[in-house]
Amino acid sequence: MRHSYFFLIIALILALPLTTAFGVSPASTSVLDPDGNVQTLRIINTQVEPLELQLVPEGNVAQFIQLSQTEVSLRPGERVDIPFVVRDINVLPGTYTGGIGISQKPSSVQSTFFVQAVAAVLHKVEVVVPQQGKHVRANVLTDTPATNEEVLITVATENIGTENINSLNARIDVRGPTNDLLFSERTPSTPLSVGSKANLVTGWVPQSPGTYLVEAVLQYDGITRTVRETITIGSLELRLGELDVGPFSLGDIVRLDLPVSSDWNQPLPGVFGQVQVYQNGEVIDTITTGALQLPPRGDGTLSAFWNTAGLAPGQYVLEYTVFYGGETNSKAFTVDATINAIAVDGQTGTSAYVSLVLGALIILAGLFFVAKRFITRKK
Amino acid sequence: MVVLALTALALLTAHSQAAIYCDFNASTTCDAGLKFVGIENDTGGFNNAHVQNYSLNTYANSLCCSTNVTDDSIGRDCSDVVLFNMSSQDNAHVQNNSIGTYPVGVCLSLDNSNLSCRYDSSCGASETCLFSMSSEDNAHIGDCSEYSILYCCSVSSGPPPVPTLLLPVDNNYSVQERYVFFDWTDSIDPQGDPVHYTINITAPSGCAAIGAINRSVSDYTSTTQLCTDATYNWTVRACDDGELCSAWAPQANFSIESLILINFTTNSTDFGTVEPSTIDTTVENDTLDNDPSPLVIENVGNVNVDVELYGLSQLWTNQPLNTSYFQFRNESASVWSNVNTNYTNFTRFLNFSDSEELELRIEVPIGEPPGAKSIVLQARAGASS
Repeated sequence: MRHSYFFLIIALILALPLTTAFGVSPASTSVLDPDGNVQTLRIINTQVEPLELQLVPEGNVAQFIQLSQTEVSLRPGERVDIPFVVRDINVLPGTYTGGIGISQKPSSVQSTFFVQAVAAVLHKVEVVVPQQGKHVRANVLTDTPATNEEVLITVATENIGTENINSLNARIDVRGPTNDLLFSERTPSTPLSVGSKANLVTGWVPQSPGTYLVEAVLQYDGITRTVRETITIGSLELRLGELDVGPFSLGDIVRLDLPVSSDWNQPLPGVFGQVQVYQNGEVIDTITTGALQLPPRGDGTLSAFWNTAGLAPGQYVLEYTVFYGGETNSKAFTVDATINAIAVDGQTGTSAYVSLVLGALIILAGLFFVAKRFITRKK
Repeated sequence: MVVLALTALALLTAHSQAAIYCDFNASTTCDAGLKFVGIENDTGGFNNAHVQNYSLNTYANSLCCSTNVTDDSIGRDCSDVVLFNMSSQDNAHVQNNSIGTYPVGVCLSLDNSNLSCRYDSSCGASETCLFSMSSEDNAHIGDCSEYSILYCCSVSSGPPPVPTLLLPVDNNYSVQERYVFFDWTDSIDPQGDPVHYTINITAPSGCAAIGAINRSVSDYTSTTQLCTDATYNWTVRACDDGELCSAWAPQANFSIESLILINFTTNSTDFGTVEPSTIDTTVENDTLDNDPSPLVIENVGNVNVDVELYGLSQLWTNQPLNTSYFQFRNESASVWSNVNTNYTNFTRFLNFSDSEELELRIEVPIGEPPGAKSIVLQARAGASS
């Protein structure tokens, strides 16, 4: 016996509308050395229906958080500020993470469709309980990374210890893919009081696009600490050269060479091409090249072999697409093919047959010249 | 001499270099420019000559001075430079101004530009020679080829005016856009030279420093996302093509208020009527072919977010969540994940205004009793680490 499942659209007007959108600002809160600080988050109802939300602290910061209210109702378009206290509790030094989950109250959730979805937000909270002594946390940031332009390298530091730091600086090294040192400079020194932040900045001009390792060796009051970050300069792009057609005779297999070059500072494996042959706007053939590995800042040539058997003289468009590192780059060439010659974008390739005839004519002319001199001497 | 002066004027004009120049005109008045003194020697010429007050008009020659600064005018005000001092109003010798014992000063001024003059044996590339003197004191006057003491002057035109910062409005701490649009008033150079601007944005601690940016137009949009919830300072100055720059505009402050906001543009879907699975036949369906349609979620805030998902209730009577009977994936994923009773990662929105399809897959359990089946999924967004 066959059963059928069915569903009914019922009780639509009895259920509260489901939450499809609301906003929370700021996105996160970070507190260093909690001492009962009052923080605020703002909830914005961006939908046209009222909202019934609950707020629940979670994660290992939940123990620090004391919410002023755990439920909130918002009219359409209304925004409400929710203060919360980050309490000073007796815990071990370290970084505590988690947040305040904000979601629709379960009692107001009813599904009337088969599958429905509601939106929720996690307002992330980080609490740092300072460590005894001198401690700095740091991360490396860069501005717009482009080739041949100065890149500002920022080491953002923050004193998360319990003691002031008298003198903080960083030696900022930049290394290439083979760990070769390309740049090194020490920043000026600065004091850093408890709980404060400072940017240590230097400028570096990269010579080619690619990935680089930035190493910041922090020195503060006799303590050394290193942070590292890999940065990407520019974008991965291959330059495509002009199409070079090998000896040509319509009906034979023709070699289509395309030079490619890379400025990227690392090897590019698995570079290959695909040639689509168009006649009158229709793809009549697709040819795939072998793969090659381009060396860092190096060149190579992709070769496709085009079987022209059965093709008539005329105009063809060869669209050469090169695949590399998840990227592609294409270039189209219009070619005019005759029985024994092919012209590519104004460049004429001489056929093997024509070359043979020309060579024979030159040899014949040479023989004629020698023979003429021989006959003249005989006289 | 007139030809030389005109040639100099033509060259200076061609190079747009602000300058002042003087001509010894063989007349009691000036054909061009402003008369500063009358000049005459024993033979009626202008070299090795005495001078008289410009208003007397009895000497045969006149020292006439002009400037090529188009919107400036030359005058006899003593606020800029004193050319020399005269021993008297008429039939006078001249004296270096710094000696200061002759009673009558002959002054030259420009209304807008800055004028700088000196006595020397040669003039610099940016200077023009106005006249020469036979000695520092008790001297005769002549054109610049007559004596070795030359009077050299340079003119620096005024800088463009200080721009006024418009956007972001000063002390706006709720900017929403991460690629911030900066706008300021155009500065018109007094000499009509092209103007370019330098914008200096000071990043707060903890945010990437930004280098000075040069612009030829009076606005700029940041090419990287600026930090949220931290105060940036910014200012602009205008410079002409001679790198004469205005002062920096009074600094303005702003900050970007971070906002998490995700929105379901499609928040429900209906798999319709489905047949039960049997031992021989597994009945399944998914939203990959848009029949039924997937749920669609978009990031309309201004921070990158991770979205996680969980089921608020159970879909099937005979099978709990966290089984292959009810699964999800994002549109670019290749494998399905079980809808769970705990949050499970769904997707990461690395770009704002991105939208993602929440694909769903059902498999009807064997022996599932008939009836309406429904479930509510909760998608939660949190700022990406």
